[in-house]
Amino acid sequence: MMNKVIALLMFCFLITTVACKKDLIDVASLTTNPFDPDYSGAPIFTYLSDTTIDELVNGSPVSTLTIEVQVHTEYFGRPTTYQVAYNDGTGPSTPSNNIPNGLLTIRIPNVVGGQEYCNLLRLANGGAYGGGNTICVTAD
Amino acid sequence: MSNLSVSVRTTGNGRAVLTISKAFRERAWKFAGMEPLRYTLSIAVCCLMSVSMAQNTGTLRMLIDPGNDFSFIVDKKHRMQQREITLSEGLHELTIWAPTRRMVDTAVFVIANRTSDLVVRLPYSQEYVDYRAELGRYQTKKRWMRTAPLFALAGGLIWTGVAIGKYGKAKDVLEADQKDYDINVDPAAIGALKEGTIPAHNEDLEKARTNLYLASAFTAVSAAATYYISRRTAKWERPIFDDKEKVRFDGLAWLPSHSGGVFMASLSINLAR
Repeated sequence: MMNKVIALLMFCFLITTVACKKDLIDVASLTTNPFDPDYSGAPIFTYLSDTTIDELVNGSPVSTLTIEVQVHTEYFGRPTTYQVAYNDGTGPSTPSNNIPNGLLTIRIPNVVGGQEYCNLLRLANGGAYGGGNTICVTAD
Repeated sequence: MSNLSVSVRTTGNGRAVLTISKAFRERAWKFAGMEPLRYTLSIAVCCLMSVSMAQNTGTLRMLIDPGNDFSFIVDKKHRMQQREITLSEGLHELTIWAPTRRMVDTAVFVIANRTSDLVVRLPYSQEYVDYRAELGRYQTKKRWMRTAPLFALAGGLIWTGVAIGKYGKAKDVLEADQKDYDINVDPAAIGALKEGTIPAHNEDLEKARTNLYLASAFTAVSAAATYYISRRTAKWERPIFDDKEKVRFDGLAWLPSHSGGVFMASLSINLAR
C-alpha cells in the first residue's frame, strides 16, 4: 500500500515536471510573426508576374523591369498599416496605402535582358524592419 | 438459687455469664442422654445468642468520595458494598476502598439507636497517579507525533496552493506575451519582447516552477510521513492501569461467589481393573 502511494506521488511529480516544462516560451522558436526580423514562415511576398518594357528617359531608351508581387497580409496578426522596404532596407519604402489589395508593383530601371535581378523585400513598421524574402526575376 | 437452676447474667462490657446448677446438669444428662459438657455448651451458645440479639444497634451512613463503586470491610471480616449499614453498638473497624483509590482504614464508634454519617474521601492511589501521569505523557507524545506531520502536511498544501497560484500567474503572463507576439505589428516592440520581456517572464516562471516543485515534494513527503507515523503510532501500546490496591483489598476478606463459594472435586475409579 505504502509503495503504491509513493509510486503514485512520484508519477504525479514526474507528470507535473514534464507538463511544467512545456509552459516556458522558447524564444528561438518565435519566428511566426511576419513583423519579426527572425520570421521563417511562409513567404510574405510572392511573385505574380513581370514585364520588361523599354522607355525613353531624357531621350535615351531604358529597359525597365516591372514585377508584380503579392503581399500576404493574411499572415499578419491583425490588420495594420505597413511599409515594404526594398533591398533589405537600402532601397525605397512603399507605404501600404500604395499597395491596394496587397498588390505591390516593383520597378527596376536600367535592366539588361537575360540578367536575373533579385530584391530582398522586407516588411517595415515604425522605422524598424521585420520579416521578408527575396524575389528573383530575369529581365527579358 | 435452687438445685435445679440455670441463670444468665450480663456484665458491663456486654459479656454473658452462664450458671448451671449441678443438679440440673445431672437431670439433663439422664433425660437427654448426652454428655454433660456438650449439653452445657449447647445451652451456653443459646444463651449467648439471646444476649447478642438483645444488643442495641446503630446505623452508619457511608458518605464516601467517590460516591459510587466503593466497597468496605467491617471488622476485617465482612465485605460489603452499600450506602447504609446497621452495626451493633460499639467500636468497629472499617476498611474502605474504591477503584483507582487508596484503601483507608478507620475506626467508627456506633451509637445505639442513632444514625451516624461517616464522611471519607478516598485519595487516589499512587499507582493511579503514576498511571495518569504515564497516560498523559503517552497521549501527549502520540498527539504530537500525529499532529506534527499533519501540520507539516497542511503547511505543505497551503504552500503548494500558493505556489500553484504564483505559477498560474507567471504562466498567464507568458501566455499574454505569446499572444502579444502573435499580434504585434511593430518589429521594434517584437525585438524588445523577445530579448527582454519574454526571457524575464520565463525566468519568473522557472522560479515559480521550482517553488511549486519544492512545495509539491514537501507535501508528498509530509503525506508519506503522516501515513507512516499514523501507522507506526497505531501500534504503540497504551499504558494499562494495574490496581494493586484492589489486590490488597480483595485479600483482606473472603468474598463468596453467587454459588456460595463451593469447592468442587471429583474422584474417578477405574472399574475395569
